[in-house]
Amino acid sequence: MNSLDQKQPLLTYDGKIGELYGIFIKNLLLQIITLGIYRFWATTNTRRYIWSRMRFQGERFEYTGTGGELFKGFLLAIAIMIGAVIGAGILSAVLRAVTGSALLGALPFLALYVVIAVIAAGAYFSAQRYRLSRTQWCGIRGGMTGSSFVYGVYVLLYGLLCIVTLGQMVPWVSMRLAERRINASSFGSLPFHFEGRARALYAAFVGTFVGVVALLVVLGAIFFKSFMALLPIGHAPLKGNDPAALAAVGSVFLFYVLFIVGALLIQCFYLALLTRHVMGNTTLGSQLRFGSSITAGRLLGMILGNLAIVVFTLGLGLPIVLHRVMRLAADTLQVSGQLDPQTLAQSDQAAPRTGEGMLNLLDHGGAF
Amino acid sequence: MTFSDSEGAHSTGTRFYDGRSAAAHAVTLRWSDAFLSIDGEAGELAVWPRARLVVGEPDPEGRVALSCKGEPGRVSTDAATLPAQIMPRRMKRRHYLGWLMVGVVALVLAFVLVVRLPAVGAALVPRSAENQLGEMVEAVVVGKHKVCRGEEGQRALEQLEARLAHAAGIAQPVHLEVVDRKMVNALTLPGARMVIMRGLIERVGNADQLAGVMAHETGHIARRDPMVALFRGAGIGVISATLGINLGFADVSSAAGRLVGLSYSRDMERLADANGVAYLQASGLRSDGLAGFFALTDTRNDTRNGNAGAAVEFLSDHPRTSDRQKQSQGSPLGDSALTPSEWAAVRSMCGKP
Repeated sequence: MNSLDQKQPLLTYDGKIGELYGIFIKNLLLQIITLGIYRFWATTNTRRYIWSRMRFQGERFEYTGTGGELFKGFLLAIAIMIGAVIGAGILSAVLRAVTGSALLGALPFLALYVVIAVIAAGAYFSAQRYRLSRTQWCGIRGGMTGSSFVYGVYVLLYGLLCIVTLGQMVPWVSMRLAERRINASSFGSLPFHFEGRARALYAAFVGTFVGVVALLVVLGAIFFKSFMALLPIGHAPLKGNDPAALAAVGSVFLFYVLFIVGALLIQCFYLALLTRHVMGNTTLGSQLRFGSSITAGRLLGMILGNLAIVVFTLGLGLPIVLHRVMRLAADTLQVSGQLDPQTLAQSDQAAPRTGEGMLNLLDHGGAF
Repeated sequence: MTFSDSEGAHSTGTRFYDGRSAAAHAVTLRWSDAFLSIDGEAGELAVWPRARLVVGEPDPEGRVALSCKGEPGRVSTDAATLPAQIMPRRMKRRHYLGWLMVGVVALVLAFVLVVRLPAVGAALVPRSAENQLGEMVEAVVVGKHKVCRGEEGQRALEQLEARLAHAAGIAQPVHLEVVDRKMVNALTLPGARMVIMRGLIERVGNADQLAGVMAHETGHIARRDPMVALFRGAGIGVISATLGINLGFADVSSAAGRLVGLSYSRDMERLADANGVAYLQASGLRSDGLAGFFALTDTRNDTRNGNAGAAVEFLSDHPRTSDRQKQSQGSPLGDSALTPSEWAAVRSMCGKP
């Protein structure tokens, strides 16, 4: 089909910064009054706005989740966590009393830590399931199969693999995890499909890796004197008004800033390529093929700009950051093909009843 | 169907999505008292009870999504065509108004709990219960410390306090105790009890200054301030528990334990200062003692000699001392509170010079 080659923007976004600020300020005030408990409803308000300002094929999205669901999920996660800790404590005491071995007694807690790590790693998966199930387009919602626990186990095992290979498996691991997340997802009756090839990323990855290491070495050599100057101060109390000590602290701070910004700059090429690769090889059913036109320059501009906005407005610029992210997504996400509404049927995946519990609890839920 | 066509076609009219497929059905909405009927070209597509209807927020084109709890599908229509009583904006305004009311009621409740109710609650507590509570608290305050029982000194203090209590109109005899503690402090406890610490007797310059502090405490007794403060603490506790904060009362769970850490409000302190001066004057005594004591502690704080700043517990949660000194000047006219021999007896009550 000819239309499969022709790329058009996937989404249009017509949100306004002013309206986002209205939601942001109301959320902020209510969160202060309720000592933070309102954050579940705040997240929902923001998502409802963002979703409703995104259009695909001229039809708006709708977010149907509620703050109550997020709150219940959070309470459930807390209850499970407390229950697991108490259970492990009792089991540990019983084991120690029966066997008299401190090692066996520590076993339940070790197991608990592993389980918590697995659940934390799998929380992204279940959060994506919740968001998909609460996203509607033309009355049709998304869904997700599979287990977040299994995903968490894979994340941990792959993480070990990356450590053992000194990071050289990172592209392969990110391909496999993206496949797990994307291939489990569907919208209505149509499944998402992604097949990645880490080989396409390796040249960029190795270049990035070498670049970051080289940056570290060069900066380390330049700032070597400052680090040495700080070392004896580590033993003697640092005098606040000693200009030499201040200069040393300042240059070490400069070292970190330069390293972080520099590493970001180097990584941007790889991250942009990764995004283009993942999006470019993802399809929805046989009708839609996605793509991304993001470049390292745009990604870098957005990340640096957002960092500056958040730092200089002390977080009050978050709506602007959100707006920039949505604008960039709408500008760069692409699609070819048409989705025929007549053939898109409802999802047969059961929607979760509560949302994002562990993700909220373990606190890597983002702004929206 | 091309992309631009679909956009044009979809931006007007009322559409129904049945929730089984993404296909749009052109429909007309028919409103009755209890139901919304959704009519397609080939007849009725769905009937939703209006009680379960959910109306979304209007999008930039002024369109809203209607859905029904427990039913699949949604309707997309122009907000202007909806019946006035289900307009989202009105619902929203009522919603905000409701929350505003809740906020106002909560503030009023908090105000009543903290400001008005304590005095009413304190007045309702029977004397016998208050006396029992006072005994309990006294046991906590005294703790392991010795109660000083110098007979002559005790009698002198009780006579002085009886004069002040008479002036204050306190019917109940005031139970007075001197405790062998280093703290420069005097406390009023529930049930007309006063505890004077040895540290205070040692710190004051003369008997009139001690009488000034006692008159101040008598002011607290006359207004039953300990009970009021207890109720206020409970009110703050209720509010903070509602808000889910623990202000750190966990370690002193008993009411008696909590009372020791009570503080009076600034208004209570000012009133006690003023009343104290009035009682002294009414009993024909010199009334400049309290101001003298404040001046004494103030200059000692300024010069920072010894442990002056840290040890004056009496002033720790009180209004600024120099302000109080000005406001409770009193007058040097009148009798001295104690005779020199009585004052000597009071100073030797704890068996130390």
